[in-house]
Amino acid sequence: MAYEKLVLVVLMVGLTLYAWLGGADLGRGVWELLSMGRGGRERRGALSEAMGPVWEANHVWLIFALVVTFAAFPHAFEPIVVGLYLPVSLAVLGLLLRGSAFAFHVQDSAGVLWRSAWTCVFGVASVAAPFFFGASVAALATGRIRVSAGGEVRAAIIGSWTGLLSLVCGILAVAICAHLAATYMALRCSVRNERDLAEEFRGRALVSGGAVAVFAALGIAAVRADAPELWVQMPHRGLPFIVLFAAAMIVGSVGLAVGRFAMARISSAIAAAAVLWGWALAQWPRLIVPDVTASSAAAPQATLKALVVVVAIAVPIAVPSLALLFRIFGPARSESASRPRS
Amino acid sequence: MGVALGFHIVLAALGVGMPLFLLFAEWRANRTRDEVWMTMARRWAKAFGVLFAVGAATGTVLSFALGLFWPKLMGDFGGVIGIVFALEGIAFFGEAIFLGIYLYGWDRLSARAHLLAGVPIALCSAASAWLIVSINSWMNTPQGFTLSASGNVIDVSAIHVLFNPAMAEQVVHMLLAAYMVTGFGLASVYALGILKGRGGVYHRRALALGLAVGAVMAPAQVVVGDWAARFVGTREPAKLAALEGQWETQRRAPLRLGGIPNSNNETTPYAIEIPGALSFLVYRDSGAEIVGLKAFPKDERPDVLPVHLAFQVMVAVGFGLVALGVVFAWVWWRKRRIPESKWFLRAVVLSGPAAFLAMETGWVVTEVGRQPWIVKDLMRTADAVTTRPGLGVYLVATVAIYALLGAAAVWMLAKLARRPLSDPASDGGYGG
Repeated sequence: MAYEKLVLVVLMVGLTLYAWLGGADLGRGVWELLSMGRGGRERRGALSEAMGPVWEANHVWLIFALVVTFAAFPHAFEPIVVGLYLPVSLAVLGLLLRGSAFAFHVQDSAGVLWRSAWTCVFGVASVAAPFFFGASVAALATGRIRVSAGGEVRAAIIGSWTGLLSLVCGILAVAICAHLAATYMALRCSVRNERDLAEEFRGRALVSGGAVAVFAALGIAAVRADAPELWVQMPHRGLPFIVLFAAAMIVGSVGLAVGRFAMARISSAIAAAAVLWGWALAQWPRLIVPDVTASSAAAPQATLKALVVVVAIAVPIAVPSLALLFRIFGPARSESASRPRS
Repeated sequence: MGVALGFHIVLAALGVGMPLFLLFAEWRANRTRDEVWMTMARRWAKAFGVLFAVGAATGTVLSFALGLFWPKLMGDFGGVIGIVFALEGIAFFGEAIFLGIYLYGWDRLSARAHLLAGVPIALCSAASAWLIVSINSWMNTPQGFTLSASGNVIDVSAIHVLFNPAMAEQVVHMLLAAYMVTGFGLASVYALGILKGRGGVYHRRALALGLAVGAVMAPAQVVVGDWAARFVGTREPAKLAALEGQWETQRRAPLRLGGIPNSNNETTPYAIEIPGALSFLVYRDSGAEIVGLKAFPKDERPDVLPVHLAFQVMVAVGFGLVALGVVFAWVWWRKRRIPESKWFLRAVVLSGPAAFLAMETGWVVTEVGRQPWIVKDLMRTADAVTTRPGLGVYLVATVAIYALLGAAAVWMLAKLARRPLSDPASDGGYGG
């Protein structure tokens, strides 16, 4: 049992990092979509520039979480991909188009039509991916995916992920991504003395933060209606995280209001993590409510041990590399001085 | 799934091969202060950025698609092969991090540091290829776990899973293929440029570099291919029989050139047969016995026709590329220049697509040749496939999207390649 818990913690850390880093990239896609048209040119440029170097590395966290899931919990992975076949496919389609469109849409030499077409694809895919992932995750708590003792999966193709909770969580996921992106961009632009852009992103961070708060509140109501098992845990395991989330959102909006962008940036990250961890703990030990638990879904102990070893070897290699990447391309460095704008 | 894999394999091979060329060009540039090498490195880096982004996206799709298409495979064996995927994830991580540094760091890092940042990309991409191919070879020769009475995987030894019997030759075969297709692919692009009259020193040098690598790799690939075929002969007799169109179990089995296997009357007509040659190639003894397809129950035989044809195409193209390499090496040795005849250049233009064709057909051989099994002797593909409806629509949509992305990527790269060389090469990243 100890290894299951350990691997689940590793998985949650991976998911949290994906939410922070990949989520912010997804959010930047959302803002690019909303900045289409002549007025948003500067903003789009800043967004692309911020994303470029870290794009692939941020994305790897999703692969990491995916691989850990099917290596460590194959008997949960199978019902998830069978039961949520459609939304997961749509989310993956979003990622495919996004990844390709990202490379295509930043090409200057390719003409306006080409660029705006791919920017549009990029933006729409950036909304679709978190929406469908959010809806899918929520579906796991609603009891709409049933697994028999023999491993047969029963789930409606569409009905399993279109419940109230799924829809709210899909939108919440998009809002969180947009909020993470906007607070980071506000920080980045203000550090670089791009005051107009920083102001624009400050406004957007406030609006998206409002959306996060509204949909999080709706989400709690939806849990009551749609996921009774989760609701039971809300006042117990869930409560500290709800408090943490609320506190982070308040601190974050104050930070935005007074122009303390670093504070806002950290708060938005804490709020996103609070949603993820609060949810996970409220649902523990079930991976898929009500039939699949962490222990019933787990791979043989040897696999779990090997995974832990792999992660233990990887961390000392990956962390310094990642630190190097973020150091070279972090918010503080000004690019325009050292490099002609492409 | 086949389409998605077939598409990804092209990008993955370039992803493995390109860093080597990039690093070579940049290393020459740093050593010689030669602008031509520098331009080459920068332009290839840009193209590589596009290819990598699309490759990463299609790779992500595949890691999900494994589950979406074959939920049972991942449900039953996820705990076995998952660990190898986890290792691959780490290699990919390293690649992604240093790619970011490499693509965007031209003006942030010293020339030396920038070159060094490229090294992990080459290493990690090769490691990725190794790990992914080892999962494929595991499907051919599964081991490293035990099954309980109820058919559940109970004990897993990651080392044995990774170092499965078929790993070594499949991995080497694939790595050589990756460097080969990249070499011929690059040569092909620049041969086309020269034929169109853009024959400056840049084009000639790039052509020579691509061809030189291809010319070295192609004969090596023949040796490794022989090694792989001998392995298949002993460990996967049904696959060997299918790729040779061998129906009867016999001594002095012939090697067939061409031929169209017919599953109805169980013969392979229209082939040129070299008596005893197959026995000799597999066992180094022309009298050795080769097991034919008839020795296997009908529902355990792979689909012979595509396997045999794909194998023939792969081998034919392989030897064609060797011949091209020999011509190139001969002229280079005698005259210290690349051959300049139109016909040679035309052949080089063809060599790129041909090399990719050989790689794709090789993949067909190993995949279709394993059917009806997805995990040899343990799980049938039909049992692993998803039971969800609408698979047909799904497949059509997949083909359409990949066709679109393929066309867009090619158009984009063509656009990049057509930019005049005088363009300021200082821009970094994917942007241009």
